[in-house]
Amino acid sequence: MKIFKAIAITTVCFLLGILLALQYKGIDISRRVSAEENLRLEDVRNQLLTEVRKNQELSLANEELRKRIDDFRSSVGDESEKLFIVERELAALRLLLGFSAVKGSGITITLDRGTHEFSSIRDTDLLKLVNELKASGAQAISVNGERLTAMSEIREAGNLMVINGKKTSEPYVVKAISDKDRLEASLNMPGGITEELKLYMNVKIDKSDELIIEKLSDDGLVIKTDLLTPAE
Amino acid sequence: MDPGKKLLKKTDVLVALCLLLLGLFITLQYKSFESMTKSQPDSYNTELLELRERLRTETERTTGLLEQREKLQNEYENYIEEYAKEIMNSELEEKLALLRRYRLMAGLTDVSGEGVVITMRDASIRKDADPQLFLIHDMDIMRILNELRAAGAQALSINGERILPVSEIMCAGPTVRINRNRYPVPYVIEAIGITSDIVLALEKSHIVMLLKEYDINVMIERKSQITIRGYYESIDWTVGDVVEVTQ
Repeated sequence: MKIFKAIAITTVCFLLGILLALQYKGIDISRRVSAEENLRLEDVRNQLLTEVRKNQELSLANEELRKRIDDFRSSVGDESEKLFIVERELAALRLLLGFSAVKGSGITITLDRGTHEFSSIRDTDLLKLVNELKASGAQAISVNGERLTAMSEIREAGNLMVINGKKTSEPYVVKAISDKDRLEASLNMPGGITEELKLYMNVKIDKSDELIIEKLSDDGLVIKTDLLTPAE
Repeated sequence: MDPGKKLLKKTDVLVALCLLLLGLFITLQYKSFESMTKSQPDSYNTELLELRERLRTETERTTGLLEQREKLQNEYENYIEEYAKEIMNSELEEKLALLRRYRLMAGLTDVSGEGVVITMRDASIRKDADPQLFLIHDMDIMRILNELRAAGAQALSINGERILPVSEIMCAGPTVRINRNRYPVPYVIEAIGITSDIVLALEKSHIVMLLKEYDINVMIERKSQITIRGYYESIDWTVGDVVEVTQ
């Protein structure tokens, strides 16, 4: 009887020990898991949305490219058809590169110091504005008639601004082509760039359905490629 | 026998106590297990799992689509090149040469040449000052790019993402968004151009001095040969109508 009791107590204590350990581990895990999951749901949802949209665009673009290659191949011997295909792509590239003028829905932003005498307009103001426009989908942008390319600099030099290697000065007229309402909305967002710039300059925004943006004035000097070799 | 005597036996009390504790722990264990699985409503967990699964599928799809796109671009590129050699039509030949040139200019192809690699890392945050000062902001990156452009860079990329005329640079927390893709710190800027011009311009620049003042790590390396990848995703061409200009 005594031995039986001793065994019973030992077993019970043993079980107790295991449960204690499990209990501790369980608490530890539950804390970690819930912290991770609370953080993630919104993130996962946003990432998924971005990814889905990207994939839609990509598969459309791939289809389009596939079709272009097939069109090209199937028009064997038909050189006018090939010319047409090449010409169409050249037109799109000219647009991206800024080699052609473009007309469409867009906005014009005019910046001048006006009566705010205490500071001048900085290159960082223009860089920020241009970046904001790009982020809201602008596809063609010019500042004081200088079309911006991937290699266009906007740098201050005293009271002047150098853009595409050319000097220009106030007032700065920035034009951007994309959905005009979307562009305006993102600039005028509370706490956005317009609010910030208005602290020390005059900001005027005009919308237009038929905005014209000039082409790059000097094709040879802004986009140089003499140092680039096609990589294998 | 006196039943009371047996009831008060020492070992019995001990066993009873142990059993009580055991019961307590089993209940606790069960409850904590229950709360672990039910800490979020079931729908939350199901949704999360489902979203994660879908995200994984979509990401795999993106990788596949990008590979496919690169293959198609190369096929197109090669085809144009091969075809240009054979044809006798001088107009078409000229246009094809122009097409290849424009694609290179626009940043749609991989290019290599001499250049500079700039690596930027946030400084370690000091307790006595505003932490914002020691982080890299989108404006810092824009200003570096601006210097590189002014110094005659001919191709630019950030963390492998080619800079196009339409590329934005937006910071969101510890990541930067370029061409709608997000990248974490460190930011690696690659530029093809005349190495000595670029290094000189950067060393003289206000922005690099400013960053160094805040202990932000800016490492500039000269390279005799770097390769910058082209942009292989899709670009929205539908901007507006191309108009003929009379200048």
